[in-house]
Parts: sequence; structure tokens; C-alpha cells
Amino acid sequence: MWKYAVRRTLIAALVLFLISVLDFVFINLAPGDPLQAMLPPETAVNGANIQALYEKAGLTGSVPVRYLRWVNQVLHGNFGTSFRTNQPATTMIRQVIPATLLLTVTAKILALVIGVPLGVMSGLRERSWIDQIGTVFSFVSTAIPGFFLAIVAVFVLAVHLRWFPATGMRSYGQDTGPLDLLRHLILPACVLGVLSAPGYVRYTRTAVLDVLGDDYIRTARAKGLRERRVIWRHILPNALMPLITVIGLGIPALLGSSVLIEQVFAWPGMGQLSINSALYRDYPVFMGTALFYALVVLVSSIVTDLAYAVANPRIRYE
Amino acid sequence: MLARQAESVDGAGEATGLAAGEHGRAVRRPPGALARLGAAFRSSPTALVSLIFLIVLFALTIGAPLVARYNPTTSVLTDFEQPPSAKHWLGTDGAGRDIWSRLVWGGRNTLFISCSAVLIATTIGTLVGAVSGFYRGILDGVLMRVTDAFLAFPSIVLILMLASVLGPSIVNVVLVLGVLSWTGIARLVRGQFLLLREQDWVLAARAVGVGNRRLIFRHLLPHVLSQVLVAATFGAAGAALAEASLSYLGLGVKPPTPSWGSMLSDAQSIHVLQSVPWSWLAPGVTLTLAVLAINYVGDTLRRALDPYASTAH
Repeated sequence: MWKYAVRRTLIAALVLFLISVLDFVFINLAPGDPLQAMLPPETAVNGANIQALYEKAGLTGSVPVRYLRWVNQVLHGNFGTSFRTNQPATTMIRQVIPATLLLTVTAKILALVIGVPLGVMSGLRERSWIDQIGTVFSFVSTAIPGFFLAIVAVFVLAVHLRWFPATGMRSYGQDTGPLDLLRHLILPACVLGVLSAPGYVRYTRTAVLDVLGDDYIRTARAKGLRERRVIWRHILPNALMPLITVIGLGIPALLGSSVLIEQVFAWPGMGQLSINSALYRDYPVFMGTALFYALVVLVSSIVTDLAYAVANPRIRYE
Repeated sequence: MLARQAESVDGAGEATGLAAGEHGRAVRRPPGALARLGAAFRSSPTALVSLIFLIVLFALTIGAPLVARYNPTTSVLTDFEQPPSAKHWLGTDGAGRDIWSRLVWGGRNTLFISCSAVLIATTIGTLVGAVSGFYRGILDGVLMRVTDAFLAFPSIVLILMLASVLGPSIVNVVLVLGVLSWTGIARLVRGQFLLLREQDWVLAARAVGVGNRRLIFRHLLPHVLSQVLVAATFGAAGAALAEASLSYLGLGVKPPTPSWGSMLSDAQSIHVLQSVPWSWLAPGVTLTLAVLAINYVGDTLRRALDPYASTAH
């Protein structure tokens, strides 16, 4: 298994490298000059000044040279300085990570809390009303654009009923304790949770149905076990084990939809930072966020695979 | 119409089956693809309703010049933020434009974008998948690492990046979505090709001297087309959603040009969100229903065409 882990890590490193090249080429293909837009008009007069600024921002030399310079920086833990705010990109990224982590982890938990029980019940009672609800729920929440669901939620729950604040993470100048944070968190986390739940409903339902058809379930029933015990001790542990993999596989999609949800709710996280830096061609920051996303996804997919192997002794990696 | 056509094919199938029986061989010919499709749509009312809804939607958007009652981009300043009425069926938006007209014209753009993007993605994906599955080797390794790289990204980040580089326009949205969403189909086709290339009939075809290119396009490709069709259907739904997201963020179709996404982006203003709900509800609900219908149709296609699809869900 260690061999497998090492190989996966090497492949991940290769993929990360490809992504960084891809990113860098894309962003450098962009027409227009990021620095030009940021400069106040009076500095434009002085040619020497500009040259110095370009050098400082690492915008001189050919694209491959710039790429190598950037990689060297990154390996020293430095993503460069933001064109927009003049802050180190690393600092800006570090500032927004907690917000995104809070939002996505809460949403993931909500998605599991909604999706798994619904899927289990749908599977145990195939074609019952709960199964119908589960199917309709997963079809609708797959089809609805995430940001549209978010807009509707803001319209109904924040604007009209005034149960929750519409945007942001904390209230200004008031009590900003954990309760205030919770009030801000509920709406975006619920929307994101509902958006990520259908995968779990469908997966759990199919898994339960598969296990139900297995011989050992018939054996368990035949030896007179009570149905509750059959469900909790025989069906669920076997059906839910591969959920580990499904949770891991859902991470890119979760991060992707969090980008838009953060935008609607003005949640100060990675998604917003990444969109804004893409819009303003603030490429040190954008590259940082993009690499961060890729790293999270790759690491989580490796961890998922290994965790699954640990949890399920039937799986052997070579 | 599709159902009736399929019925006759179905009938033909029965007749052949009987005929075969008379000859003493109890082999029933399996129903053809069209017959299976017809049966699948007839057995599921939801799928049939979805199909009809999509046909109506396409008809309305293709006939936009006929059914739109106003110019979709002309503002009538005396009529802004009107709620739905006999004069403006779905009301007017914050700039005094008729929402029904914008909805059908916008649908035209949104559907055009998603269909063309899927066409591009499917073509690239099928070619890449076929070549890497057929020839394997280094090419396959490189291709798979590239698709790994694509899959490792939340695709929206990649889409955002390219869209912001190219700038907002309809053609660019098509390009961005087409060029960045072929990886799923490539993997699907590659997987099938890896299986198919080992089949005996491929060996037989080689033995009679069929060249590689002909083998790929004439012998192997037809076997994966139905699965590609299913994937493309779901891809169209995904592309419509992606168009909406991009336009909502201001990186897709630019207002005043209507598309369902650009109409939804009006709701970024808190005033519109709060007081002109009909202006964003109409495109949002239509888009959701369209994607829902495409997914239902796709699901039905999958069950009817994909022999390996499990019947459990």
C-alpha cells in the first residue's frame, strides 16, 4: 500500500505541475497588461519608474523565464505580491481559508445529514412515497442553478421573512460573537448543502438496494433477526462503507459550487478572492488560489483512496 | 410522433420474431434502438412530458422573432419595473424591457450556446478518447494525465480563468465551455475502446486487412455512439448551467444581450432582487425546468440505449 501511496503522490505532483503550467500560460495569454490598469496616471510619465515596477512585479522576460521565477518563489513559500492590494498573495489567501473551510465543511455535513438518511429510507422502501420524494429532490436540486437557489433563498428568507442576514459573514459594529456568525452561516451553508445532497441520496439508495439483494441479508432474516438489527448491523455498515469514496469524490464539485454561493452571499472566502482576482487579472493571487484548489482536491483524492483501503480490507492496492 | 414511429418498428420486431419461430428457431431478435427508445418514453410519463416541454421550448426560441412581442433590448422608460400584465405578459425589468421577449430571445442564446459547446466538447472528447483508447502507449498516458489535471480542478475555476482571459461574448462562452468540458466524454470513449479493441471481431477485421483509421471510425466508433449521445445530453444540461453561472458573474453573455444567465445577473442588484422578483424568477425557473427536462430525457435515453446501465435507478 505504501508503494501505491508513493505512486499516487508522484502522479499528483505531476498533475499539479501541469496545472500550474496551464494556469500560467492562460493568464499570460490575456490581452492587456495587468499593471497598466493599476497605475495611477501620474506615474505613467516616468519611464524608469515603470521599468522598476515591472521588475518588482516579475513581469519582465519571456513567459518561460517568468514561469521558472514564479516556481522558484512558490517553492520558497512566496506567491508574489497582489497587483490590486499590494499585499503578499500568501497573506491574502491565508486570510480567506478559514471562511471557506467553515462554509464548505458545514455544507458537507448538512449534505450528509440530508442525503444519507433520505437515500437509506428510499432504498429500504423502494417505490414508497419517501422514495418518490428522494428522487424528485435529487433531480430538482441537480437541475437548479446554485446561484438561483441562493437568490431565491435570500429573497424569501432574508428579504421577506428577515430570518437571516442576506450577505456577509459578520454584522458591522454590533455584537460579532459566534451566534452572529452562525446566523450569517446558516443560509449559505444550507443552500450549499442542498446542492451537494443529491449525490448522496442517489448513491446511498443504490448501495442499500444492492446490499438488500445479497445472500447474507437473507441469512440474517432467515435466522430470525429483528428487522431493526438487520438494518443497523447488516445492511448499513456494508452499504455505507464506500461513502468515504463518495465524500472524497464530491470535493471538487463542492468547492466549485461554493465559488458561486460565496459570490451571491458576499461570503469573504476563497471563491470570492479567486473570482475577483480573475476579473482584475491579479494573477499572483489567482495562481495562488488555483493551486490551492488543485492541491486540496488532489490531496483529498489520495487520502480518500487510502482511507477506503484501510476501512475495507477487501481492497488491495499494489 | 416518435412514439408512433417506434411502435411500428416494435410491431415489425414482433413479426420477425414470429417468422423466426416458424422456422423452428426460437431466437427472438432483440428490439432495435428506436424501439427501445419508444418503449422507454411511453413507460415514463415524466420523460414524455419533459420531451414535449423541450420541443415546445426549442420551437419558441427558434420562433423568437414571431412570438416575442417587443424588441428584447429596447428600453421603454415609461414602462420600467412593471409587474406582469396583459400588455407585458411577464412584466418588464429595471430598464423597461419586456421580459417575455427577453426570455424567448435569451433562450435562443442559451440553447445555442449549450448545444454548440456540447458539439465541440463531444467531438474533441470522442476523438481524443478513441485515439488514446485505440493506440494506448505514451499518448494514452499523457492524455490521461491531462484529463486528471482537468478533473482535479473545480471546473468553474478553470472556466473562470479562460473566460476572464477571453472576455465576455457569446462566441467566447461557446469556446470556453467547449474546450474545457470534453474530458468526461474522452474518458468514457477511451474506456469503451480499451474493451472493444480486444474483441475477436476486431481481430477478424484486421485479418481481412482493415486499416486503423477505418477500424476506429467504421467499426469501433458506432459501438460507443449511443453512450456518447447520452453523455452529450447531460453535457447540454451542464453547459446551460455553466452559461448561466458565467453570465451571472459578468463573464458570459453581456447585457443588454439577453440570455437566461445574463437576465439572472440583474438580481445582483439588491433593489432588483427585492422589488422586481419577476425579472429573475422567469429566467431562473425556465432554466431550471429546461435542465430538469434535459436530465429526465437523458436518463431515459441512458436506460433505453445503454445495455450496461443498471435498472436499479
